[in-house]
Amino acid sequence: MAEPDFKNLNQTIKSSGAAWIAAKTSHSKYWGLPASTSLFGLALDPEKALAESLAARRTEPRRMMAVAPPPKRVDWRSSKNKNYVTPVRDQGSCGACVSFATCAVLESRSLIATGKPGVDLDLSEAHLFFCGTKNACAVGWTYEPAMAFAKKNGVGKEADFPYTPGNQACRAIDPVVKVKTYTGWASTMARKQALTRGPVVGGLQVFGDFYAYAGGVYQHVGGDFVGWHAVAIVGYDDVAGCWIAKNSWGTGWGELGFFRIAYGDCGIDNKVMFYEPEVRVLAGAGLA
Amino acid sequence: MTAITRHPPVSARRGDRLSFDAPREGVGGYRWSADIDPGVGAVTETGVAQPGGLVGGGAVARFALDIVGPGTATLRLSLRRPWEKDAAEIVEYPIRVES
Repeated sequence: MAEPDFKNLNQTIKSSGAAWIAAKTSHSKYWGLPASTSLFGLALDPEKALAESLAARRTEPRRMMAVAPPPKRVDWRSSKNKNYVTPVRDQGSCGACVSFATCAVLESRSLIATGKPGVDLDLSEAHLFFCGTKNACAVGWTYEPAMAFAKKNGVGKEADFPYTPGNQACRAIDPVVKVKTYTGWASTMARKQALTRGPVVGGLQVFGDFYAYAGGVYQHVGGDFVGWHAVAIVGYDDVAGCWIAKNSWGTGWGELGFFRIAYGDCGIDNKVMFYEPEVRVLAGAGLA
Repeated sequence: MTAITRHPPVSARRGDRLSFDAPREGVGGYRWSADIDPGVGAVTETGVAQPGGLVGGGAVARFALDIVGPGTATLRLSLRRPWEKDAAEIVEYPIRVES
């Protein structure tokens, strides 16, 4: 396990055309654990994901023809100088990223629906995760069951069921936001159109170098494949050629907890659909 | 608060190679690292195995420990985020090398 040469890594990033910065950390000598290929496997069924994506791509362009082209840049953190993105949360060492990404999107969509920018609506990731699935910290979850749970049961407030990173029993609490409907988008045009209406749930393949990301437009240049990860996509930038995303690893990582990732990188816009919910905000949300 | 798990001592001989697995590799930004007294053992190979989990489930970190010297030492596996100082979890395996 050699200590990585960050000068070389940053040169590799630069020479590959990527535009992000890798930083030395207390843990950096382990950044490049080689994959054990004989035991390697994808966390998602890639054939199923590809089939879904191709099917959606065949129908979406016709649906998009009547819609105005999306703007070159969308960022819900500063939409007409107003912030519709709630603070970055921290999932800890439990594989609850699907719940965090879903709650982040439901929070933003609720602020947009009620015209309440800047409000810290804090939904209970614990309610969604520990009631929507069981003992899943070590195995994770998937996108559509999370949306389906939020549609059927809704999601309550963090204060009523605070999140702690460890498997625990479901606690029934009153919902404050429900999903009315949700749609998975696959084509680039449809993804961007969805983002003009609000943040969406997305996912990417995480490699070893992602842990060293400290800013810029991330592109995978090295390190082992570690697994799939769900995030909230809060915008895009055609000039920089990237998606803008909110992670759930606290504010000490990346760009104060956010990151930008190049179009087409790590499967973010070709292996996982963008899930767009339409929300119903209930009285208990306090956004009336 | 760091959770510490101590396993019973493991007996080994010089020249042995021991293998250790640690779950939830990569989850939430956390990764495992391994340390041991270099006079007793050396972590010579690392790898990542995917257990076929879902989104966010992470992987299994694998460490191969070569026993290089006599004595006793503790293999310490630490789960921490690269950008944070404190470990979330530490797993210890005391190693006793028989002469």
